[in-house]
Amino acid sequence: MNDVLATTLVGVFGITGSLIVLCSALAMFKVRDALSRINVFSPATGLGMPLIVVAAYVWTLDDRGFDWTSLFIAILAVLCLIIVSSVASNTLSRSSVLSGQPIHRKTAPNRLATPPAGVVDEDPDAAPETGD
Amino acid sequence: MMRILHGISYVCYITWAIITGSVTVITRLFRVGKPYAQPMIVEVPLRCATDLEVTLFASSITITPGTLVTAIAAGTSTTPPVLFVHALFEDSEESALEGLYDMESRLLAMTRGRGPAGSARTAASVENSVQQENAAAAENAEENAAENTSAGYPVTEHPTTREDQS
Amino acid sequence: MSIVIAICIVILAVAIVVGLVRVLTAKDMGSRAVVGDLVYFSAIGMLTFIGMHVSSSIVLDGIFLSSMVGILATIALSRILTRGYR
Repeated sequence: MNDVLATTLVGVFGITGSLIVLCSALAMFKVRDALSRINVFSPATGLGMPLIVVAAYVWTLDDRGFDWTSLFIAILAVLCLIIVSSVASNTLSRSSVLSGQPIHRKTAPNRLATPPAGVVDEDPDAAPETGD
Repeated sequence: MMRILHGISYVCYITWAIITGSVTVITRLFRVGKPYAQPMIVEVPLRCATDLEVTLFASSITITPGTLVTAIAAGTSTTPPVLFVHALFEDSEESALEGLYDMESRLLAMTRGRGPAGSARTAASVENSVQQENAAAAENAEENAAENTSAGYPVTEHPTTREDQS
Repeated sequence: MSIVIAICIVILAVAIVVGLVRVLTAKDMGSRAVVGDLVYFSAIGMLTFIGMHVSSSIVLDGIFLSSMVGILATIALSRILTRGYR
């Protein structure tokens, strides 16, 4: 009975997590630029990989019984996945903007390119008409 | 004590946002006939002040599926820090900003123990106020320069240099 | 149990193949960097399930360490994208 329960739980968590990773890989075909691809990749690391960690913890629980160390490592792994993937996505998107990767032309209000309405955009660093 | 309660509710809120955002990303795959996403980059002037708050807010935005921080402009003494957020599944710019400010209010309630008092300023009002302050500062500088030259003092553009401190 | 593990490994392998097809069809380097991240995390998942299949005792330790070190690959890729600038 216990073995059947463990198999069911590992199956539910593992297959759901794997399917989320696969779906975010498929979603990369639907969007057109690098920023959107970084965006649709975050379900894989934010929800898919933690579910796989939960599956691994349930398997360890069934295999060797309850242990505080393994519970601590599992919780720490989930936290590390979330924080690390967030910081990594920030770094990657920032460098992708800085290196001039093309942005999809239907990005409707693009505030990196155009200021909001009612703002006179003046360059404060623009040199006055002195010449050098 | 209130900060711990606010922190617990913020963690629950982020978890719920991750789950619903992932469901959105996946269910939009199987909608045929409609466009998959509407990408946009919005500008968010922050009410967060310290580095910890800005970092936490940027990480929370990025871990939520559907929103992504692309650039951070550092704040000065007059302007708040500004985030440029890439949003995929929002209908308009206003709804995107509304969701982001909701998350920011919860974050500030966690770090400060209570919610922020005033409502958020829009990007256009921030820009306009900054331009008015710059214009006023420029007028003052011109008046001072005129007084100095009439009194015979030499006008120095940069009175303090920081080279000797480095 | 082995059937479940085989299904998970096959799904993750399909995800890697889909990502590699995306690398072949993408034009810009940013998308390729993201796919590199996807392949890394899918490989971690496959490694975890293989460890469960052979009854390894360090399944949790392996996934914990690789999730901590995973940021290094992404930061290296983004540094390559900007050609060394921050």
